[in-house]
Amino acid sequence: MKKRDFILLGFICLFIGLIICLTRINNQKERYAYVYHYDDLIMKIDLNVDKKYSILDGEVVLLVSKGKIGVLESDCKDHLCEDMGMTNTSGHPIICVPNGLSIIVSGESRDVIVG
Amino acid sequence: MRKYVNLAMLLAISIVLSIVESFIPTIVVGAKLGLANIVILLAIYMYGIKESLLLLVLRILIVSLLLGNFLSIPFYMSVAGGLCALGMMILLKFFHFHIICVSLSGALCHGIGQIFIAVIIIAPEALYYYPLMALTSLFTGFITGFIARQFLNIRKKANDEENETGLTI
Repeated sequence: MKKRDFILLGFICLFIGLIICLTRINNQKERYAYVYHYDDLIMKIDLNVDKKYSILDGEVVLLVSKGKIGVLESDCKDHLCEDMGMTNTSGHPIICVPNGLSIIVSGESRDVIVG
Repeated sequence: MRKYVNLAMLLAISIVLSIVESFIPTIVVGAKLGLANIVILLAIYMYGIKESLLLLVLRILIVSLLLGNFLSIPFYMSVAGGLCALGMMILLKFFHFHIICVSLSGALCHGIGQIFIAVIIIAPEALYYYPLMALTSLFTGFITGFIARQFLNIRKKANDEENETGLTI
């Protein structure tokens, strides 16, 4: 290994670091949770702001923390939606069937289809 | 004649390696060990640009026919990735960089080519997958470069020994 090989290795590491930083910054910008009551979009929640949201006249309380969203309290009888935990991916929506509520995380545009 | 026999053997090795590594599960989805890349790297060092390009194109065609993804998205991705990697490796080989550096850059460029096609065909969000691929390609690129270096060392030693007896590989 000569000196310029190490310089090249340094550039490679720098390049990867840069790419990671850039995608991190961009990724944080467009994370939103869409809250649907049956077919109606009732709320669009920014996941970068930690906050509690009370929806459907206080029947359901949503919690956003550390970029994830979950149901904190619900007045339905099974409390399955509370057990679904916190989500930050579109592949893991939170559904509350008794209240007709679905919480879907998404970026601004369509999701990646792998196939 | 000996060159073409050797190239055919290298092609056979790379095809087998490609198929075998498609059965090896990896932690990162879509990332592969890139064992077939060893053979392309060796072809660049042992023969040259034309031969390695021939090897790459034939390998991708035959493997895609065997695995059944000819002219589908993974096929285009591996063509773009392979050509990017080959271009980068030839460029760095031309400037006499160390073989492990050549292999690392090749692995990185393979990812760039694949993501480029994914961005065009699938969705622009595929770009966010690249950091993960870049990190894994650091690891796999180092391994392939290391193996290729060991092989070239052994070959050189064998050639030296056989030169004394009057035979060459």
